Amino acid sequence: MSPLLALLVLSEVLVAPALLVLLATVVIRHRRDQGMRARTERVEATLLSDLLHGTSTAAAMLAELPLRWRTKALTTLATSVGTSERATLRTIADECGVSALAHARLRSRRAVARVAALRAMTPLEIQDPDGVALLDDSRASVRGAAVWWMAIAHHDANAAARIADRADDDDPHVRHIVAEALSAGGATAAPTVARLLATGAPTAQRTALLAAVGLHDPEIADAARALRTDPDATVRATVARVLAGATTPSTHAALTALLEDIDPEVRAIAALCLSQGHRSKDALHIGPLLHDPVDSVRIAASRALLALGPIGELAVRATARTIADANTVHAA
Amino acid sequence: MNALRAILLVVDRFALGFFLVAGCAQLVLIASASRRVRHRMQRELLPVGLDPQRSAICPRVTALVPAHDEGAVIANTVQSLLTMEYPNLEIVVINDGSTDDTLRTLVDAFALRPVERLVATQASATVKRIYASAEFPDLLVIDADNGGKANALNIGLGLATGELVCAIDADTLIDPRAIGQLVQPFLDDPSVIAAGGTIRPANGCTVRNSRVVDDRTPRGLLASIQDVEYVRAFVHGRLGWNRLGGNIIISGAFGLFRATALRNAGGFSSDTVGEDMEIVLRMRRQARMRHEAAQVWFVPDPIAWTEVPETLRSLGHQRDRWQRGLLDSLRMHRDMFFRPRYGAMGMVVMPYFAIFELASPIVEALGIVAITLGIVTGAVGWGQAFAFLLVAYGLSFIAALWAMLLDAWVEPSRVRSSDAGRRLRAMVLEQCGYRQLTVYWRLRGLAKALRGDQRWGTQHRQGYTELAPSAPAPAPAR
Repeated sequence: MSPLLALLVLSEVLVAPALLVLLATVVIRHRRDQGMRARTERVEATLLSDLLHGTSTAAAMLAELPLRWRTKALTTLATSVGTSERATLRTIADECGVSALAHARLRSRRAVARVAALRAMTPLEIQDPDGVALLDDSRASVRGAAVWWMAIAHHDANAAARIADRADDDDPHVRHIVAEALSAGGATAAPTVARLLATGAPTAQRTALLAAVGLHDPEIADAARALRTDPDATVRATVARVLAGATTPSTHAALTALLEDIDPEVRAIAALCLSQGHRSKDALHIGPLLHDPVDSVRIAASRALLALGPIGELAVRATARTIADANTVHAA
Repeated sequence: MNALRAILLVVDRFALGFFLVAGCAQLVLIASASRRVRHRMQRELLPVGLDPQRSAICPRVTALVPAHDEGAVIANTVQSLLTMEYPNLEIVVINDGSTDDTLRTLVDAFALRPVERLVATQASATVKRIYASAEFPDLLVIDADNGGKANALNIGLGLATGELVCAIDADTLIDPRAIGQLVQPFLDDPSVIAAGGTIRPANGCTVRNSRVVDDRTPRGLLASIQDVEYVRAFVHGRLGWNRLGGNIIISGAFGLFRATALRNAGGFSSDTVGEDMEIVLRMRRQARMRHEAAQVWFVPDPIAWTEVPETLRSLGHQRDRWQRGLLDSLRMHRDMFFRPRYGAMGMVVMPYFAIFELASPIVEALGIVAITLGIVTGAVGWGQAFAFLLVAYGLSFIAALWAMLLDAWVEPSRVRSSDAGRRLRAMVLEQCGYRQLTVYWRLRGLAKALRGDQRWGTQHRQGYTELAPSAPAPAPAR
């Protein structure tokens, strides 16, 4: 037997059973978890009933669960109850050892454990300095989780300001979470978003713009207007989205200016966003884009015009008759 | 006689070396996939992250569903799309000259009526009529002459209003959260031009209200072997290449594209039956020529289920078509090979696909013939024959086992003990008979491609096992 063959036989004989054992472990663990999950869900239901009726029947059931599942039950409930119920959950978490575990895990060397601790911290409210420090953790997944849980736990201006510190994070996923968290913050987050838009830091401004799309705030739209000349095309495209359906003359002027942007995608998005205002007069602004050299812009322009009603449709039909380009629109 | 023995010995050594390198490359890709899976598991700890399902900033997605003689499954597919957990989804079904009741089924099921719409004509096929539904405002059905899948997709692309376009096969069922998850890479990185998700065989699944409610490994032998193939292909072929930046395949059954990139590339090509691979190559190639970053991502979470062939005949047609598609795509972009300006794609990925995917059936067939003849003539010893089997099939078995472990790790609920047993059986039987059949089909595909055969072949659809609806569905059940 050649050495190569011997090596192959040895490696395959060793590796295949090892993989099989690992696979069996995953399957067995899953089966065990399924049973535990069902028990935890029953405890969650009983706990919720306790919270609503002021009873305390779930304490014994909770104590019977392993610590990991106890944590899960409390975390799940904490994200779906109000502030007063969360205070009760905090007491329960202190009593049943979940708080102690979470605090210990916050200082763990393993990023996974720190993130898990953050989830468990939700019923405790994140005020622990170790918890706040996780916003500056070296791992993006930890920073993202810290931002999210802070947003879940506190819907106030202080939390928004802390979250906004990560608006220029190096990791795009974290920035998106910041945008989503600020967007979900509504009116309380609006001043923070406005401040970020005025910082002059491009990354933070982009994050703020994403948040602004969901806020539908006229003042923020005005602040976003200033970014329509940003050198980055994605920023200008997002500005168009923030200004969608522009209501004030200044925002309307900014949106129509974007119709002449150098980037075709920005022109296309601006046309579609302008049409959201459903003003037939805007056909005059969008109409010229039917002759745009880029076909995706012409397509977007025709869609935008059609959304404006009969006048827009007339413009599209007239153009379709006069342009003999195979990529322009035609009546089907 | 001595010359023959020498030739047999050389062929055997060559095949052995080829499969040793191919097997090791496969294991390297799976190791790379393991790192991605670990990274993804850590990301999962992010409780929600950006949730495109609820987000106000989710981009509009247009689902393009080309349908040719899909009367048995089309209503279910549209039904499942209409109930996706994604707030900004438009559905465009293109009836590609069906000869069955596909159009009638759609008209009846969704109360469609003819409307007048404007179409951007990038496709050569003729649009006969467009239908819309008052009940489902985001649903459009285009009745067109038969012009092939690529043509149908291009017609749909002309009507798409979404920033992102999702190509979906008519026999594909999609997880309600899948589109939202597939959108994520586009939000994370503006340079992402396409993303694909995991596809699984729907044959063993139970469907209720057009949703897969019980994801099981298929019971049929042929389908269960394909299940193993799919897991391995998606783990090593897509997830493995993800990390190396070399993803060039987005499954035609379920893939998401940036609409502008797709339009700027000229849409799908009708000159190949492998339009899904070709369009990705073209988009990446054009981006490289413009010195722009263009990422193609595989996201392991999004799940779509498609009915896999359960007869050897249909399976043979499918496999020879895939091989033709691969050859066409590589041939159409052959000038990218070993050109540094195309980066890893030209220097590593395309040569890998040409050598280890395109040429492997030829080498495997030669190896099998050489081993058999060699044993008969005494040119090849039993030890060498055993070594060939170990390398060609043993490494493939290990790769399948590793891929299955990763799959179970990502989503343990998909692997129950009975399913694991079925998959193990399929993994063993895949190497004994099935794989040799696929070698034959792939060789047949190569021969057809060289003759210029562009036919798709036929696949008989059986439809899904549909349980009684648990609640009244918006559209009547089939």
